[in-house]
Amino acid sequence: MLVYSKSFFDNFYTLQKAKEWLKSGFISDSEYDIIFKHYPNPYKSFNIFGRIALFLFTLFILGSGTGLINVMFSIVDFYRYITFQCFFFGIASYILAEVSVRKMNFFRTGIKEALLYTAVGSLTLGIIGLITNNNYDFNGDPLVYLLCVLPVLVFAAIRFADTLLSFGVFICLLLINALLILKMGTFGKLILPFECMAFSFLLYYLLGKLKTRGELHYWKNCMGLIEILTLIALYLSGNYMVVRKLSEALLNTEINSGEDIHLAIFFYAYTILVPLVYIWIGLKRKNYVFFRIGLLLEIAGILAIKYYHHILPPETAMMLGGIVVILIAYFSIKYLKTPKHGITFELYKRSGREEALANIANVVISTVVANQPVAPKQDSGVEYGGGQFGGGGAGAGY
Amino acid sequence: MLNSSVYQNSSRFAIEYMNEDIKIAEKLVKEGPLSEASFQKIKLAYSGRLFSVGFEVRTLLYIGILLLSTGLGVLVYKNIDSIGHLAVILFIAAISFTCLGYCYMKRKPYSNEKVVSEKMLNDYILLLGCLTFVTFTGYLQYEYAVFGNFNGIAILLPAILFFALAYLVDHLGVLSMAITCLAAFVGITITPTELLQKNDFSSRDIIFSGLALGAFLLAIAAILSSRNIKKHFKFTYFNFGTHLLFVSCLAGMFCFDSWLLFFALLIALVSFSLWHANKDKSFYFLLFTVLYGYIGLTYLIFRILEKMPGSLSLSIAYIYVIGSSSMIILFLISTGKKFKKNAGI
Repeated sequence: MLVYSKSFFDNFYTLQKAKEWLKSGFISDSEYDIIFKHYPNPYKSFNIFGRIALFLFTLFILGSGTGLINVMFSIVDFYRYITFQCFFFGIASYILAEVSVRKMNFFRTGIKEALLYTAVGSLTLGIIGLITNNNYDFNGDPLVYLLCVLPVLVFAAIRFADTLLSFGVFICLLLINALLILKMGTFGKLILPFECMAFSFLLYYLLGKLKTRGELHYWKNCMGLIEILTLIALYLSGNYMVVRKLSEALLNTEINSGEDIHLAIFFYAYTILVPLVYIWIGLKRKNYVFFRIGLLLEIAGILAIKYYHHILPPETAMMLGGIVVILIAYFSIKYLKTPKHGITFELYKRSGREEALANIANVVISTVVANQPVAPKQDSGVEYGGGQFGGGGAGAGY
Repeated sequence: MLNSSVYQNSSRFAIEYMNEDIKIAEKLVKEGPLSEASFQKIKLAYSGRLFSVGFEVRTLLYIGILLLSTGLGVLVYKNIDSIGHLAVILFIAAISFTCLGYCYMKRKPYSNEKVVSEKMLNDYILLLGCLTFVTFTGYLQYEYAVFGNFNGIAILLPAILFFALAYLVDHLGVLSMAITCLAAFVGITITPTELLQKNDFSSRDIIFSGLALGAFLLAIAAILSSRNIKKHFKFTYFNFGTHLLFVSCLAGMFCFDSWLLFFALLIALVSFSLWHANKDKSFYFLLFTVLYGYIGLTYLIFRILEKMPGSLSLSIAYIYVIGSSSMIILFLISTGKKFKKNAGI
């Protein structure tokens, strides 16, 4: 099912782990060299910059190629046959994508991704063209379009173990679910939040079952991403702002000041409490996903409720918020001076990739030119020490 | 140096696959490469690892400071009449000088090598001090025109101070801010207020000053690092300088009639930058040099194609894009392999 050869993939993971362990100091250089020779990894990979550049250039080539062929056949008015072109170019780029992986051993190059995404896009458009009889006005039932997209996305995501396409699959499933519920009329609109919560939870549960099956570890990045997305979707289904905006849109009602949506209290509570539950689960299970998502969603929730109820003027709210947050941070540091319950305040040793990304962020931030240059974001890579917050690149040799 | 009890799987998504990692380690031990000692180290790290909330707590702290200072700033701004400018300026100056003074006193002794500071808190204080200093001078100039008609001095003073501070405290962030202030100074000085008001940007001056500043930064970097003074600053200088040079050169090409001259300059810049990237084995420099060069070349070609008849020029344009993109892809792949060590971030 997977387009990559499994042994190559295993070797790739082994090497990746070895590199991590080398960086963390668990293994020695000589051991790493032996491992490097022992597990040949013929896959070509590039860093994130190179990948983006290669991706863009591949898209240029594909676009120009399409344009060129159209110009060459302009005598026959080739551009009329859009559906045919979609299938033609979609299949062509898909074949190229397969060849690039199997024959030329591309793995994380931008090229394969560009080819794959183009293939998926073109084929989807082609299928839509077939079903709607060459009518590309897109004013039909959105459910139809989504159902056209889904099989292509699922196939490509599974075969290439691609995280971005998995993201697309998830969004598709969510939207299809929502649209099906809405087809039930007013009843559907009322139960939509709860149904979406149940659906997200179901997906999360199924995903948990899948993750225990070891032979599926090739797709662990995709599954990890979808796990995060299910948790976020579970929250957003009951988030006060989302529910309110959707109610206004779907039920065509205007909610005046003083009024509120049905079961408002439930949604207020949900908006604030569920992220706290996530944080709690994260701390309990030592799970970063729950913990970080909980933090972010809590902030989102507070902002969502603030959007509708202006209790304080913004600057006072900011100051109070700032003081509260600083106090939380301060007391956490005090409390965790010695690790308790297996939680510590110390920083972990970041891998090279995160360090590089932090440096990029610093470069971007530090080039704001004004009378008030903004200082780069503070992040220490060394454990429990100040260090340089590196503007303009603290790491040598990208 | 490394705290192996606080180890986290760097792959953000696959957090629950610790068992997989142990299995990989077991396989490696069985097949030979991994020694028993290393295997035990790995098992220990995985079993005894602690859950680190350090990153989140620090971010919270940072956000809190940001919120507080922004709220304070807005509050002051809204009530400026009742508080009075002098009081505000004195307050800002007080914060700035206290923070900077504290950092200056707590600094490690100067050395031409890299100096790593001890406490994390110092970074926040330094940041606060620098930001407030810039606010201070800017406010001073805006409100009281302390520097007369020379608006630029309000940003030149911080620039000089930050350069000195960056070397004294060995801080790359402050260095970046210094360079940014310097660039702002150059930008402000060569744009007299009348031109700003008339909305008539003398782009020629800006472009030439950009080129001059870029060259100046590169020269400084070369001189200082050849004397082994803070070699780790070289990357920052080169980063800013090269980008500035390229952008100014491309701007010159786009804006002026004498674009051929600028194109020649572009070629010179590209060659120099490629040589430098090759010397430092830096994929990053290689990449953006190639990109800038490509933008310049494409602009030139399209300029020429403009003057040709319709469908022929379109086909040529397509062929050019396909050809040049393929060449760039092949070039990137091959040099990427040469720089393999740095390319796999």
